[in-house]
Amino acid sequence: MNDERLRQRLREGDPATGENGLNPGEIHAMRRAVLAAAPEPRRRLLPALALAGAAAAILIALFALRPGPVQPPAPPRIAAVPAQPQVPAPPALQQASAPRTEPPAPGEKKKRPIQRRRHLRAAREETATLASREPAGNPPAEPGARQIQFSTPGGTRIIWTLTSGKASR
Amino acid sequence: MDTSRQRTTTERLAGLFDAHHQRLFRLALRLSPDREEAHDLVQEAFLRAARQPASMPDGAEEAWLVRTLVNLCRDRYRRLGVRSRVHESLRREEETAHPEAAAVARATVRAALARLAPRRRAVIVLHELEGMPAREVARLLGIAEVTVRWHLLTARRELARVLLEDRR
Repeated sequence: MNDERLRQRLREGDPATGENGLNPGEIHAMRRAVLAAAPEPRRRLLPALALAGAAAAILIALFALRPGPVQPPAPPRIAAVPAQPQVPAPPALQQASAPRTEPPAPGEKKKRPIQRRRHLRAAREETATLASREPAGNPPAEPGARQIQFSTPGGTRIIWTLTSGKASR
Repeated sequence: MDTSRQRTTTERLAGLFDAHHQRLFRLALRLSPDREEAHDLVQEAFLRAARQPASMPDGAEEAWLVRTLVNLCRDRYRRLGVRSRVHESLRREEETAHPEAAAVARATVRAALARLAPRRRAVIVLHELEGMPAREVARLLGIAEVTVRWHLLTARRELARVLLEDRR
């Protein structure tokens, strides 16, 4: 039996021929049943809302019970500055500490490295401290004499007394 | 908003039912052994659409309904078993067979179709009796076109064998 003959036989005996289809009563009943089976949106939304609420509560509880992040110890503020021997204050240092009358050149502040400024400030402070102390064994400075004191990294304290014409150490 | 959505869903379902119920019933008549089962299959397909309206893609509702109908046929076929299904079909046809030639031919074809697996039966019915091209059948059933062609080839062989046996 070839395909054409088979097709002809199938069409001759098509189960749908001679059937009138659904009658109006069947159609009406089926339509009503189908439309009644459509889910109500409110009923559909309730479980979804409940689920969302439960999920939110769980998330809040998890956040509340989570241990806080451990704060690392604050690094020392000068940690980034490498320890360097203190620079002895040059004789011109006191002049540098004097207030400047000239306005700084533009960009000068940026050019000077911050590390250098710190060293200078430390040296100035130390000089001022030493100058304020009156060393016991040192002879009193003569009036009009100029004294410069500083200490070396090894701890040796050096005092220069500048008088007019000669210098004593 | 809920009410409007409900109304939209209901309107969509009503529109689908009005547009496709006759066509689906005709297909169900060709796939199932009797009218009652065809009626049940169509109703069940629409009930599934009503319960899961979101699962029907927009613009492809007809294909979804046809696939659902064929899947329902497969479920019933599996539940009842091939042998009992064929025997029951043949018995029903004998009971209701009319002496007229057309009725005999219908009974013979229906019995032959009942021997095919549901998907193969759907493929041969859609292609040979509803005149759909293989590509359209593939789209409706959600399978590859080459699979449709393979089902057609196998179904023709099986039907030819059954119809020749019946003639003897």
